[in-house]
Amino acid sequence: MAGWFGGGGGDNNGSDNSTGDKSFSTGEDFSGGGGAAELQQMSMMLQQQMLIQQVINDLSDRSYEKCITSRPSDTLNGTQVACISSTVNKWLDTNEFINGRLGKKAQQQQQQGGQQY
Amino acid sequence: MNQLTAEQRQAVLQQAQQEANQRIMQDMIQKMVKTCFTKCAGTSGDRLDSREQSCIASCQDQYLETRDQVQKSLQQRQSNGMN
Repeated sequence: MAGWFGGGGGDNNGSDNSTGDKSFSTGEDFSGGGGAAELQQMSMMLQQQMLIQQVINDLSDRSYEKCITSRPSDTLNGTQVACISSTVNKWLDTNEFINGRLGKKAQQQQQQGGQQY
Repeated sequence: MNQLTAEQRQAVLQQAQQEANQRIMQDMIQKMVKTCFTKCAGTSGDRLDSREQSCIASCQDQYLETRDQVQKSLQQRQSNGMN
């Protein structure tokens, strides 16, 4: 992790980090090139992390609302645990299901709008 | 940005537009999942059963239609306002 924060920036002259083609840089590396690619990767990674945390937050909220309906106590009982597992799993199922159907619809539209079979 | 040619600038803008569209799409899908999940999913079992699945399918179709209608209503209102 430290590498992402320590190794970023435009100074690629001596580093081995860049795996891309250096042919476009004429010597001054500050105008984009390797530095920009690294930044983009880091940005994507952070976004993914954020996304996962958001899902966890959301699911926790959702599970709590659905499953913890009796008076608050110290620990969760077996029913509540099963309910939480159910909520999480059904949520993932729902995601898959809906995305799958959307994909099929998009395919159908393409087939109708494009070539005729 | 100042060092980019007009072509490059165009490419950057296009990519930004694509990313924005993707984000909007993802946002819609997320909302759709949330709404239909709340409406249809029970709390027993670790997979959606067939009843829940068909409920979600209907919910999804209605949701997409609703979105279409919302767009039409907005367009309608906009064109009404201009007359």
